[in-house]
Amino acid sequence: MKNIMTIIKKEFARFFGDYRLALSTLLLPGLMIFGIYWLIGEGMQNLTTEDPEVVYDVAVYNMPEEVREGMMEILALIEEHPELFPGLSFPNMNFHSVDNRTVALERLEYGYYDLLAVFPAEFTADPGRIDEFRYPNFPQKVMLHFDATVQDSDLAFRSFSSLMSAYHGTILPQDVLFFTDFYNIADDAAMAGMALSMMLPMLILIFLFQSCMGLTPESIAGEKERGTIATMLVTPIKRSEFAIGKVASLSVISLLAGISSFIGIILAMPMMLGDEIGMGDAAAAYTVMDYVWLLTLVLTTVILIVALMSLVSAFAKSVKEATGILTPVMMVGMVAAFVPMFAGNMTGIYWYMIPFVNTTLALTDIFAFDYSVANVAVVNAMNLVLAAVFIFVLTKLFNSEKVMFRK
Amino acid sequence: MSNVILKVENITKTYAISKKQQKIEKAKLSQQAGRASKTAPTVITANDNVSFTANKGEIFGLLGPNGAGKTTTLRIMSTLIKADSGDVFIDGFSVKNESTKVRGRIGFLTSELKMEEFFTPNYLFDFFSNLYGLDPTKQAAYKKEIFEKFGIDKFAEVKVANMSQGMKQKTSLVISLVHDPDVVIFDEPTNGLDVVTAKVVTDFLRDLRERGKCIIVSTHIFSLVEQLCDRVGIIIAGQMVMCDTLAEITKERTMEEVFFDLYKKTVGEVD
Ligand SMILES: Nc1ncnc2c1ncn2[C@@H]1O[C@H](COP(=O)(O)OP(=O)(O)OP(=O)(O)O)[C@@H](O)[C@H]1O
Ligand SMILES: [Mg+2]
Repeated sequence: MKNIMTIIKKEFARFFGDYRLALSTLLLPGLMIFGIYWLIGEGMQNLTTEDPEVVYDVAVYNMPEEVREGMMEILALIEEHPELFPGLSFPNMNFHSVDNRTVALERLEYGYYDLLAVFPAEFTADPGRIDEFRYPNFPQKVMLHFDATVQDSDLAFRSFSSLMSAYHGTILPQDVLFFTDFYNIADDAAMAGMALSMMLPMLILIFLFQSCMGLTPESIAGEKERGTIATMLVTPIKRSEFAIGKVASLSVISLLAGISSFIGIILAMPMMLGDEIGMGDAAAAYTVMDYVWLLTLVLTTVILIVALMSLVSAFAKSVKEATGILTPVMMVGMVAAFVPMFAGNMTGIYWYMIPFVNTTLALTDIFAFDYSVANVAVVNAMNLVLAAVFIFVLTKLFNSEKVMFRK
Repeated sequence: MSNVILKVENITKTYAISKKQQKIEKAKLSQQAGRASKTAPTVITANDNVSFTANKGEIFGLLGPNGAGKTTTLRIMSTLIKADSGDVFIDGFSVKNESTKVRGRIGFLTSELKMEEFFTPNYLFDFFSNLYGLDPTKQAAYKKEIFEKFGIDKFAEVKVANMSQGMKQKTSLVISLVHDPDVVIFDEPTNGLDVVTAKVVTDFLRDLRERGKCIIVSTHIFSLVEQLCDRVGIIIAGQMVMCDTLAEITKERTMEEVFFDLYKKTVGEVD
């Protein structure tokens, strides 16, 4: 045990004592990811600046003629006497009367219309019938369909709603019950968020693979190549202690690097998704236990990856050979991690026993608030058992002169 | 009471050789036999049934030409590689079966064992002291003493990467002996050292002898054997061809004369 600590301390001294190595491994991935996501976010922001020349196409269903006329009057009035309506200005809107709501909705989805306003069949502003809608009778409801993830649609929605209230406030008697409700067809916006949260487990695995890849071959094949491992092997330290010390320290450092990437994503995510789907809100929705399980999954997975990579690195003659063998190994691991995204129903317990597939599955479950502790425990156990097997073989390799002194 | 602390018993070690090298070996055999050799050897015998003993308080020299198998013998003694057959006993412990105990009792010095470039002598000394499980306060005192002896105190905080060859050698020597082992195994002790540093090293080895340590050095330098060693084993082509006290071996002749005599008998005329 003491020897394991000695090895771990040495590895930490090596890593954290080298500022450039530590900074480039720990800070850079997070910064890079944040930077990339930030740039993408900026690009999105740029796409969403208002264009005064734009004419919004508003599909209207069941819109009574007098309402249309009343709205036009208001628009004309505002244009003529802007001083009467301080702060109020409207973009150009074309109203298209439609007979088929379903078709109109489809066209809205395609972006042909920016907004679909559905008036109830009995809707009227006819002064002769208006008394029907006075308090305490039924209110009249206008339904506005739009897509919050499309900037034009969003702006058309805002303009039309305020035009409706202006119309209500100026032309209709105050006690006529009338309001607008809206339906955001891009609850598909949530879909975008969903897709990202589905990708998160795979992103996490990729970053873990990458940070392990950056450290393990260098630390084991590199030491072997430079002849510094043999120096430790002539001391009375047990090979198993040496193997565990190496895997433990590399796991911690890889984990830190993985966390740095992870923080980068989390910080950049709101910029990509916009305020609608704040990651902060989502993050706050998870309980402490969710996070604990998340952390155990990430930790055992890192240990597994490091143990696997250590094994290959100990076997390889040089860092170059180690990375050469590990690149396809890593690809296979990543493909396994991607399987759950494309495969259908993977609820069988055996799926939670396949390395890397199981990590993604369990992470996805946790992000989706739908996980069983038993499954997560199975994944953790699998990871640790496999890692133990790899460490055992690694110990054997450290004992083998053929492997350790092969040039 | 016997003074023997190291016993090498009939060690044989072969290395597998590459296909291409096998052809060369076959051609060599054919040439020696004067006719085409049918079989190509698949292994090279680096140690062929080598035996010897060494005592406390003596410097034992393993003398032999390049490729004779000196390094192989030392590596087996220091548990880095395993013999095909035979065994080595250090203080009664077998390198085969009690390698951990053996490792705690020997110090192996060779240019093959490198130090991590990133670290300083100061750090490495503490690190290896910990690996040997030594008492930190005792080690601190010992570090001060031995660093001063080798002048390492002047570059105790210089990274190995920034050291000269001689500084590296001195550091490596001190690091390998942090645990003050009873048996010191030293492959080519003065290789690559200038005369001044070489003298520091040989004086140190004599010091160790005074303190009752057993020191095994391998070399191909006759003068070093003559100056330093109490007993000598001459190894040629993997075989121990002679092993005795320096006085017995040389008698009236020089080491060089004795060696070439033996070489002629075992291998043949030097071209
Ligand atoms: N790992 C190895 N694989 C194959 N052959 C080896 C290996 N190590 C040594 N040999 C061979 O074993 C023989 C003895 O080598 P060894 O290094 O023991 O010689 P040496 O006496 O130390 O020589 P030198 O004075 O040149 O250091 C040589 O023929 C060498 O080629
Ligand atoms: Mg040698």
